[in-house]
Amino acid sequence: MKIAPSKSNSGNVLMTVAVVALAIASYMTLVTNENNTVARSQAWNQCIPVCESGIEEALTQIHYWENNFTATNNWTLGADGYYHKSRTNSDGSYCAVSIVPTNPPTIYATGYVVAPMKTSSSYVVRKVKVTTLRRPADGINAKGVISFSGNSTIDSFNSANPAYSTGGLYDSTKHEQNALVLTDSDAKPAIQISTGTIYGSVDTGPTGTVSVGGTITGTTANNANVQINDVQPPFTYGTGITPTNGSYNYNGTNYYYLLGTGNYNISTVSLTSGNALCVNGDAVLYVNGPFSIAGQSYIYIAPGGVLNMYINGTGSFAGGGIVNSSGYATNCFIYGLTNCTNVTYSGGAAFIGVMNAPDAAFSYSGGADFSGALTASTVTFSGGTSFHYDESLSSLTQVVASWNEF
Amino acid sequence: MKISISSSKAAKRGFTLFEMIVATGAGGLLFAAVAVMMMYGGKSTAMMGNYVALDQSDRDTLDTITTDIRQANMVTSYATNQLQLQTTDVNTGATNTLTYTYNATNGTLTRVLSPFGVASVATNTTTTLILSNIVANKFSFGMYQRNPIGGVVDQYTTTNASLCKVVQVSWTCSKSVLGIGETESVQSAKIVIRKE
Repeated sequence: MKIAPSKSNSGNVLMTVAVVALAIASYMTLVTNENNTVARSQAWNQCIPVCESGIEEALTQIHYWENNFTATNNWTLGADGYYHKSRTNSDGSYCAVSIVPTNPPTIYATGYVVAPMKTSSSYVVRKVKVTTLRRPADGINAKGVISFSGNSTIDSFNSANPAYSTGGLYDSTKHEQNALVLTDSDAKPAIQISTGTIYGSVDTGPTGTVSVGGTITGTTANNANVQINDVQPPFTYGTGITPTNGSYNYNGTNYYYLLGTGNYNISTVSLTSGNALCVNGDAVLYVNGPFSIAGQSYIYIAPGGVLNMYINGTGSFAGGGIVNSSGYATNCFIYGLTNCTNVTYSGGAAFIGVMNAPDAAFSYSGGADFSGALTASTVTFSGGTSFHYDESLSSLTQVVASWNEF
Repeated sequence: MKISISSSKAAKRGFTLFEMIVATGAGGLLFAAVAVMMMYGGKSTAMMGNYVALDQSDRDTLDTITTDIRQANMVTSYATNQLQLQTTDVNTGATNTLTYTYNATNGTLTRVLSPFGVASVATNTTTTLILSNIVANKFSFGMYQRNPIGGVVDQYTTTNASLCKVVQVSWTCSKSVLGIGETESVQSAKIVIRKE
């Protein structure tokens, strides 16, 4: 047997391999950690849109509730007194939202995103608190051109505050300067007031212009970007009551149509020859075609009565117009459905109410003013008629007041 | 059993010149290869470490800026190298002024938080250096209003702070490591002010 002398350099190879392996391992660890950090950062940032989706849903529900909080649309009332809802996305992320039913409401949204390189039950979590407030100003909203001819005044008042109204009615000595005249239009001009004063602000589309012969007391902006949704029918046509005549003791006793509390539907309405419509309850009237008033005819909303009228055709309010005896805009709502492309109001009585006809060219004339709120496709006021926005209506709309992330 | 230990003359003789040349050459090549590999490995690791540090610094800064802008009440003042926001403290409800200022000379971005309406040099002002190593003139703020431009994914620009809904921030940072190279990191983001 031959024993060869040991080779003392064998350890050098091992040492070299060890050093190289250590260097490679360090490098790979560095790269892996960087990758993990980036992935976690992306998940952390992804929590925000997840929270945002929940907040959007909460704001929609708040608008739907109109401050009458109930466990509807899969929102549940928890033992903590908050309303809760959770929605899971296809990638496993989900948002848990809570609404604190105060006035104005507060929203808490918690976004959960599956943590990178972890099991599906491990999440990156972020929380957002959103407080809301009443939309501070409104008035006229339109998709197209808004035009006032003659010496018009556009201002605001508050029918719910005696300091800014008298008996709930507009009082020029108590008016405020919070009217907003807004259009998404980029026309030049998109808002045109020949003479007169806007006691408030105007806002057009980004390239729209404003032509005002008088004065604007507030701001002029060009960043309007308002989504004006179509009005949906209140109920399935044909399932309501057909209006009939009846008696009510005002300006005579016989009415061509007398509406009490309930859902009414009719194909068309044409009030002429002194025929009148009286509302003495909380009535919803769905007219699946044109609606017109002419001659000596009129609509009378009795004290305590509320009219919600949906028109699916043209609307023409001449004659005596709409006599809203309460004097409050919240007692008269006129809605234009998608086939309502033209609405004219030239009635003798001042319009006191809310006109929401987003697809209609709306024109207003005559000597009486408009008090309330208006939404239309285009708006034309002529003959020096004025518009007074009722600020008490703004309570129906909530917007984001603050956004805080945790 | 016979154990034979070789001690022949042949075994005892030294290397020939040829053997020495071959062995030295092969060893030198092997040493050079290992040295080059170690050198580039070290350089690569250093560069990677440098990039990681730069990237983490950039990401932390961007997270801070985006969080601040998302929560802001409004933009109160704007320049391409300075952005001033009005914010509300979520705990105290106090209104503050938050100012981001880019210093082109030093290549830094500072974040200054001060009570609203009080000069930024007030004693209760908090100043933080949140980013350094910014390449000269490679930092900018931009402002956009809320309206999207039809047909493209973009918004109308504005120079009017009161109309600002979206803030864009862009920068390039660069950092050298041991004089052997530069690592560069580019960031750009558009942030929507949620309250506006």
